[in-house]
Amino acid sequence: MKADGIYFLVFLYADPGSGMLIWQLITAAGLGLLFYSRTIVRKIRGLLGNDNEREKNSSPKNE
Amino acid sequence: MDFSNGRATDNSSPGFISFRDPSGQLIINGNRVFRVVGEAASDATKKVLAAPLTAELIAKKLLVATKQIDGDEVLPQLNGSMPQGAPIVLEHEQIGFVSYPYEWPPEMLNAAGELTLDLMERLLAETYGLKDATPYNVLFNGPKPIFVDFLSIEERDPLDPTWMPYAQFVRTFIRPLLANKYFALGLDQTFRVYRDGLQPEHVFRMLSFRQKLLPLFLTSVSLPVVLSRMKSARSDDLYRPRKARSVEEARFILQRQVRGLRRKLRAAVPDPGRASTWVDYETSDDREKSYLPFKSDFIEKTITNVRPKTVLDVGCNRGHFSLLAAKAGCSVVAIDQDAVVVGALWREASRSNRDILPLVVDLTRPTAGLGWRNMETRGFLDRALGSFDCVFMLAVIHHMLVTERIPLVEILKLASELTRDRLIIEWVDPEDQMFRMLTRGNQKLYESLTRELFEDTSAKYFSIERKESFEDGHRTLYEMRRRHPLV
Repeated sequence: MKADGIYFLVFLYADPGSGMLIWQLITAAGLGLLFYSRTIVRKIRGLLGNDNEREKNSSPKNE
Repeated sequence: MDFSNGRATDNSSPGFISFRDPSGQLIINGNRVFRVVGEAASDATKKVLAAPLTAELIAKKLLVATKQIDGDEVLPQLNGSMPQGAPIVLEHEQIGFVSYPYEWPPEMLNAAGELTLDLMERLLAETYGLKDATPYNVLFNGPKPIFVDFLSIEERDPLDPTWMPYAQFVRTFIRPLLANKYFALGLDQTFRVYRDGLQPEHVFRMLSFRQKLLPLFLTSVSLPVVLSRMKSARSDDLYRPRKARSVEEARFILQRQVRGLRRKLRAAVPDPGRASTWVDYETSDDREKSYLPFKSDFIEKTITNVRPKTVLDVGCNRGHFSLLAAKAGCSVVAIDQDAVVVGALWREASRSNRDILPLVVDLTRPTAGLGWRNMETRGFLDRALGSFDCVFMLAVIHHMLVTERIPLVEILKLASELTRDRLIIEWVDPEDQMFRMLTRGNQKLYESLTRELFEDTSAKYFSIERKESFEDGHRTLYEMRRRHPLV
């Protein structure tokens, strides 16, 4: 539709790269969740394991 | 290796202009490269210069060698356009032959992308980063990419999880490579027209409905297009600075995103086995194969006698003769209009560590200076004229004469301006089989083109040092010497 076309052009002039940035922020949020879930899993493992495993799990993982 | 042709290209003379970087300005004078850094960026730049990380990157040849110098050396060049305050001046190691993304085969754009990501990974580990991600930050020393935009290195906020140049990396590396691989869109076509690469909408239009949903294109093309149509894409708030909850989280996010970009880059790598008009020429043309030892001997003899430091191989194809010259210690720039053979030569030069810079250039239609006032990048001839001790024109002259209809005297004139001293040129007689294939029935036009005419015309610019004819007499190799050699 013509109105959409003009709208589209106007926004292109103003905002190159914004779509990619939004996707980047979405994946960053997902990665943030992944980061914290790993940390939590590691802590849980630490609490549940025996002494050997606790030592292994408390050493910092190479992230 | 020094390809400088002695022509001053500083900001006071026409030809080159540098203004895009707000932190500083590049000035090239003869064969020295300076960067004047404005006061606002001086402290940050000094800090980067002093960091051990920088010395490490320079030692590994990932980053161009750079040092701070006394500003007085460069003041005369600036003609009143000196930035305010007390700027500092850097000097960079000069890179042999400057080239631009529109002259690279896709293999080289890919290599430049990998270098950018390598650098980013190394910098992130020490809370540094790059301010931008564009192939114009990379030059090639022979086949090896090297990062030259020193001022792009910046210290980052350790809690910042967003790398803003991410979108630019996708625009200037990923999408051009994807469009090249799947839609045969030449890199020269992309980069001559679009300085900042391909917007997602541009590639989106090329995709079928099914392709839009493929993982290959989904996150690089389709999703950005769809998301940009959302209301939040138009708000300023999108660009507000964001912070992670911890330094480790920010680092984790950034490292994973760089890894994701690397996967995308590798998915767009060109297929080494792809077809083109010229890719099988050396192996499938029997007569060319039988001439090879003869031609190789002739060239080796010239190189041994003359010892040229720099060579230009015109119409290099897969680079048999470029490799010969490089093995003998020459620095070679090899050009051909076929991106596939240039890519194959780059892969070989990279693999066997030979000083060859292969570029996709049509000598009969070379790029002019591009950008603002046609001065942001330099045209091919501007960089090439007078830059080589020896020029090879093997099995190309008939293409220029017949297909491009360039007059013989013009071809020899250009050759005399490209070389400082020697020219090795192969004369192809109109009776030759390949010549006849090109004329397609227009033989009459070339009746007057004889070897005698060729020799007479060349006498205007060259003296003939040596000549040898091939078995059937239709082809003759000449070693010519420029009448007024440039020192």
